[in-house]
Amino acid sequence: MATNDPTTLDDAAFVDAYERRIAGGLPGDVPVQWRDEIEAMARMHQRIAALPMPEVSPAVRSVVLTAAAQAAADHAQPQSVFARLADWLFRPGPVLAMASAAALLIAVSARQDKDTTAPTGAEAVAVADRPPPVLTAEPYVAPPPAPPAAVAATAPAAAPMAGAAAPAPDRAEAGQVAFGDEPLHNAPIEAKPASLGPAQVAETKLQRAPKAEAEQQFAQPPPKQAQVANADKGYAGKDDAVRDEAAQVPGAAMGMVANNKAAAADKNQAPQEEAEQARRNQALDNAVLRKAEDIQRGAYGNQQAENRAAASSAPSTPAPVQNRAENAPAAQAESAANSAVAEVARLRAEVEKTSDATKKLALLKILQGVAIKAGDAKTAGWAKAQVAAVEAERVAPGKVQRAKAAEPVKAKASGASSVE
Amino acid sequence: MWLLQMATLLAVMALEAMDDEALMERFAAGDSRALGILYDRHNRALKAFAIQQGAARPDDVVQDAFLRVVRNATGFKGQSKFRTWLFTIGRNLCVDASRRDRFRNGPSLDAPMGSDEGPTLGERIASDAVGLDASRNTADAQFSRSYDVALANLPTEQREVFTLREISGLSFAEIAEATQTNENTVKSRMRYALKALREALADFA
Repeated sequence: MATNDPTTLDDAAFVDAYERRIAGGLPGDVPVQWRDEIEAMARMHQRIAALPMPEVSPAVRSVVLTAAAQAAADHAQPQSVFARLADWLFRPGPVLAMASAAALLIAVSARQDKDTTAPTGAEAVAVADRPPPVLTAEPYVAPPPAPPAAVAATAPAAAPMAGAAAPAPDRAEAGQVAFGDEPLHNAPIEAKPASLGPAQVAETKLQRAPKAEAEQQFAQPPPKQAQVANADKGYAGKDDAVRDEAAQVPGAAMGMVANNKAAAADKNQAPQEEAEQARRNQALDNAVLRKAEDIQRGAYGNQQAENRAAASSAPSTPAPVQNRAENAPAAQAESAANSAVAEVARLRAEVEKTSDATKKLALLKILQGVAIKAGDAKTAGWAKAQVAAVEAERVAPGKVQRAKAAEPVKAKASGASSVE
Repeated sequence: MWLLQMATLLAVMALEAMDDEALMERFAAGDSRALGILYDRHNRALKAFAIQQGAARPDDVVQDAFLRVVRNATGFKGQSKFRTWLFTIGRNLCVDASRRDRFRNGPSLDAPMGSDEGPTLGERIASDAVGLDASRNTADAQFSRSYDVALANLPTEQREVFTLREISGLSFAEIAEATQTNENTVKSRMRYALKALREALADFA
């Protein structure tokens, strides 16, 4: 830092003049006011410069040169690349930088794990994208041999009814086994649509255990991926009803729900578990409703196919050739019709006993489909009206209740007016 | 054999012709002879500086200063002159030594030793430090003693600047860098030191 003090500046000028003089400058170059003083200092400088310098002990020299030789050897020794890299890496800066980066990576990965195991997002995707679970399964039963092409052409209604072609006692047993000891994920998926008819599905629905038991079945591990893939391949050539059933393999969505349930249990998050329970119940109801619609749709299709077959075969061939392939479906259809009538009665009784609106709606839809299939138009109409009533009550329960409450008053009023 | 000796001699001569900074580069590259030459150039000036700074063991200051140079040779980038660097190290060592000695209960430098007529401790140290030679003539001996006494009586800052300039040969800019002051202040201290010495040595003018 420079100074502007005149005294200091004067000192600097004086010293500069002194330096020029002792460096060999002439006395005339020195300012007049300082000339005598500087000349005396120059003589003093010459005497000081003539004084001998002190000697340093030879031991000091040997010590210094020994250390210098050792250091020079270290400097001259080429350092390996790895040694230099190690020296560089273990300096404080890089070590801190690497530690910070590692901590950041760990934090990010932990955050990602937390996000992926969160029950809300994953379950929402599973419920939205995957088909709803079907709570039916039965032990593997080999599919019956397909009828010859000629027979299939003459009796097109036989193919969709193949699943219902088994005798009634067998189907009853199958329905009991569906929620019996056999775990759902152990049932081969390929066997399900071939031996599973609409009536049978309805039967297993009615035999559904309470929700606690259903949850246990949800908690079963999902089926292997190969099984699902085989199921898709096997059902590729079948009709839509069968393929829809095949797509509703219980394992996929159930496995997802089971995994999510396990994750929630690990975290001990009671509120999430309750929410998950509510969502699972909703998914269950949706599955039942969708299944009922599928059955209804399939029964309607079967009815139409039967009507078309009857219309086409009646005028042309009054006495078709009787063979085993034709006799077997006829007997099976007869037994199926008998069992359907019984089924309608049982379903109706079940509907009347049920108070839960969702369950009742599902049963009514199933009953409607079964009744149409059995040719019971009256029951079908009743079921349809009940479905409309239940749905109306679900949408606007207050309105329905007010309407119900108003009915006796209206009747009384109309009775009074008629009396008058 | 003689050819090898000749080559070694030529190499040493070439090293001696180098300036201080080039010698430091050679030493950092692994040539220990370069440091030997640097030691021979500056050891006595450094010892004289240590003596004038009041170091009790000036040889230790010289040894420690050159050992630090050896250890930190790779860190010397030539941004300042080697002489400045060396004397900065020496100055710091002297300051540390004086701080350590400050807490010792020793006799005063101005107190006369023995009888009241005898020299003071400061005079005795200065005489020992300069190492008066018996072969000197009486006039030089007297001047040297008076000079040492006058120098020892200077304030520390003035003595430091004067020693670095007159004995060690540093420029004022280098002194300013070594003492971490500005150059005009250094020159001002130099002027006061010259004035005090001139007055103290007026009898020898």
